[in-house]
Amino acid sequence: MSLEDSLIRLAVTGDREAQRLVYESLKDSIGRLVSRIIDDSDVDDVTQDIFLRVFCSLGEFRFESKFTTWVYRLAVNDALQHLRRKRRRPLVPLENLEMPGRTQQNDIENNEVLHLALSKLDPELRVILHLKEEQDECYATIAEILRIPEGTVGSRLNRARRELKKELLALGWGD
Amino acid sequence: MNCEEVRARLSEFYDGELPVDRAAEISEHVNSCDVCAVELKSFGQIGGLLRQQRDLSTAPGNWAKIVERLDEQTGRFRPWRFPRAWYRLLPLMVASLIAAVAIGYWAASRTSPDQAERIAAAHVHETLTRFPQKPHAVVDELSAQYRGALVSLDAARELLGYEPVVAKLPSAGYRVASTHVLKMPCCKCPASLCVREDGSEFLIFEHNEEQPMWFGESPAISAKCGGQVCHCVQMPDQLAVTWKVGTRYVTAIGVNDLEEIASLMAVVNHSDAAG
Repeated sequence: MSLEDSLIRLAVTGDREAQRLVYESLKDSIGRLVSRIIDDSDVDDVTQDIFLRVFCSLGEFRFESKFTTWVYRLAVNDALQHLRRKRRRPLVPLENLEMPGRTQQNDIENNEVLHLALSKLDPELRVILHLKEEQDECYATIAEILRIPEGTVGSRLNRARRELKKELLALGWGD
Repeated sequence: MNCEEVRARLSEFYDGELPVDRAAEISEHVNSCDVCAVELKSFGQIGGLLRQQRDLSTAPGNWAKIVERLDEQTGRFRPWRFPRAWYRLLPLMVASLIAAVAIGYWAASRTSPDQAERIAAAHVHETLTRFPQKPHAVVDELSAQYRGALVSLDAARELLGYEPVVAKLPSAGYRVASTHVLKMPCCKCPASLCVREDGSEFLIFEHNEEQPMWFGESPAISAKCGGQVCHCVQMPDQLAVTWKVGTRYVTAIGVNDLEEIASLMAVVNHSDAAG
């Protein structure tokens, strides 16, 4: 049995120290994953909810897949659900937000441009870009996390990259 | 390979997910096609941008908040473990358990009349909720529970010392299919299964005291009908109504609507039925 398996089995029994170690090992990656799907202001709350659900559902983990894959799947599911609930509330149209003009381009950090461009993408496209580009997951794992056929991963990534490029260019990226 | 085929597989190529021979074909095309080469380059630039994003630092205190919430749920989620030291006390605990069961049984056999009435009322409530689906089964169950006797209306009059109100119903087109006299905690209580012209059924009880507990938490209203106060209860899939007739209370279960309540009350209250 691996160290990770032992830790998880201990966490299932309610051992707080084991749970804390699991949390410490995953908090940054889950936090980043959630922040790619939902609005910044809700990231902490949703991340907390996800960990609460992880610890309450640990007994259901069957050790048949990687533990991180199982947690990511829960996280993606919960974050997308949060987004759907939130969408029922009125949102300020993105067009009404103050947009950076092309002349101000040089003053804007790449991060901000990227953030704005990503916000225009479907959450499903943001998630798949994050899993590939930032978490460096292989297609088989991405398919397992997102519950999609492995053959769909490539075509969805094509779409995500092309749409992101289009949005970035519209914001003056690369000028 | 043409551009369209390459574009469809470009992410797989860029991410190293293609078999070697297929990757070689795409590589050959990209080296000779400016459009596809630019697209591949942009994939690399976008990947670089995404990987450079600022790291999210988790707010301090998050773990403390999670522990707090986990503690709130501990009772529900943490499996309870039997402390090892307790095994030595096992014989004593078993003996205590047997004693507790014996005391409980003794206490139950000495249940006070009030408690017995409350338990009976809860049982009646649970049974009556099933009346719309299985009226005959409900009557049989109540009869079995309360040592009921299936009797004619004449025999019921003798047993009870008064004429049950259901004796008046045939004049309004209803038929009395059966009457059981039940020995309930409150009193001897006639329960009559009555049949409408369309063959559907309802049940009428007479009892000495009001029995609000028969209806649990079901929504209820008090109303006046023909100058008489009645209590209407909305039970699942049916209405129930209780009103006072003379010194007793009449309760009808399985009533269709308010119009039928008014009709039943009018028939039963038509003359001095209760003694």
